[in-house]
Amino acid sequence: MNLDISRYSKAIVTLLILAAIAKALSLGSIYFLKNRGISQVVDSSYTMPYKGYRFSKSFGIIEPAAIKSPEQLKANQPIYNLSSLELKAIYKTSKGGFIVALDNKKAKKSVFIKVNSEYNGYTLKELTNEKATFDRNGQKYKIEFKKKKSSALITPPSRPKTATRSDDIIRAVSKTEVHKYTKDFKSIWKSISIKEVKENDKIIGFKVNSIKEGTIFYKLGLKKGDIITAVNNKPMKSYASAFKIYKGVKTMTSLKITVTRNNQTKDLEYEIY
Amino acid sequence: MKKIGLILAYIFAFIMMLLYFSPKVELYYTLEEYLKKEKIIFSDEIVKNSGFTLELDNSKLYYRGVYGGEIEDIQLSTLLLYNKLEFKNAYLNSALADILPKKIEYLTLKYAIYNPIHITITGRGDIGEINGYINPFSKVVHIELVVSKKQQSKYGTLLRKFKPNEKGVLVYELRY
Repeated sequence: MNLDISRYSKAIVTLLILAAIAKALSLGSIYFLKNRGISQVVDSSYTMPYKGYRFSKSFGIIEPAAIKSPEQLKANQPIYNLSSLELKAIYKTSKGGFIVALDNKKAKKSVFIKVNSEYNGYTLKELTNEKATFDRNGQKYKIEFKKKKSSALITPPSRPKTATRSDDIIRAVSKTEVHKYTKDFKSIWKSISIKEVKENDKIIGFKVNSIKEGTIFYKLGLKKGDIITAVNNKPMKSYASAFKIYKGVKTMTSLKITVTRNNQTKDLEYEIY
Repeated sequence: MKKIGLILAYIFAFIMMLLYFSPKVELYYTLEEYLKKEKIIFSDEIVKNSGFTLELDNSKLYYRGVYGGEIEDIQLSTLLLYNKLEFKNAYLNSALADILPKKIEYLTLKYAIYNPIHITITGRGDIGEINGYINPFSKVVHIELVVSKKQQSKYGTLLRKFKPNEKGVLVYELRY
């Protein structure tokens, strides 16, 4: 019996010694290990929404490059799409003419609109073989034939929906078109491929590796090889900043994309209407 | 013979003590350093050392600085002959809902002595159920996914690399 007690106490002592050694080894190893975790620093600072405001203009300073003749100004005025109407046919006569359109807001009811007449506050001003231009409070709106589905005799044009002109002016992009991309993440991948550009191991922008024709990104004026360095004056220094733009684009009313093209910095500006 | 048995018992006990006393929290922080190099960060988590298990509660996952989602519970248990890594209730970033399932109920990776050549994978989420294994010797990852037709079309981008087998189960195999 005495023998058994001494055997058990010996085993217990051995186990305690082993436990002490194990604990000592564990404590010793802490010296070689990290004792602090890593946390992601989230940029929670509030940034004012980008408005594309030009200070020089507010002080009456007009840059020489920006001085344009009234004809140029008229030509450069953004033309928005009038999504409530769907153009079906254009009839041009020497005195003006009229259009046949479907009103999307009234269950696609057919409507006839004469030149210089008003419909829902929009006055039909101009007809071409491709489109009808309306005026409302000095702002131009257009409707064009739908591609392929058009039943009109006149061949629909293959022009982009987005109003685009020379690079130094503001373009217009429809909110509906922008929202389509914010709701469907996959469509972005199908439309554009970008890859980060690094300098000294830090991201300085995102290079457009490929871009599909006809997509919103193509219409925006982006080209293969462009390096997007900033959006709304915010430098694109990380994937997080790119993702932040993607998440916030639905609330934006204007957008400025700064790109480096052929070693020159270019601003592509858009109004989201 | 009896003495050898006793020595083996002491060795086993010592290994178990080493596992129990191992500085799991510090080991995890060291692992975080390596993950950071791969642009993966687990943030804001509550780290707990529960003896043989390391628990991480409410971890926010970031990849390349982009918020990927939150994982309610991660448990890493190691008993030398039976090891388990378990993720429970992962809610992925809703902005990525088009390409990734919104919720993963659980995802478990097990390595046990009774199946020494495979690390088994099981999981269930919005997308369906997965079963598979990693063979570290032949360097193969094999994943089988049971998914409904509706989900299959919804997560087309994610499932592009999965191929249906003769039973109609989607299979993904990677050799690394």
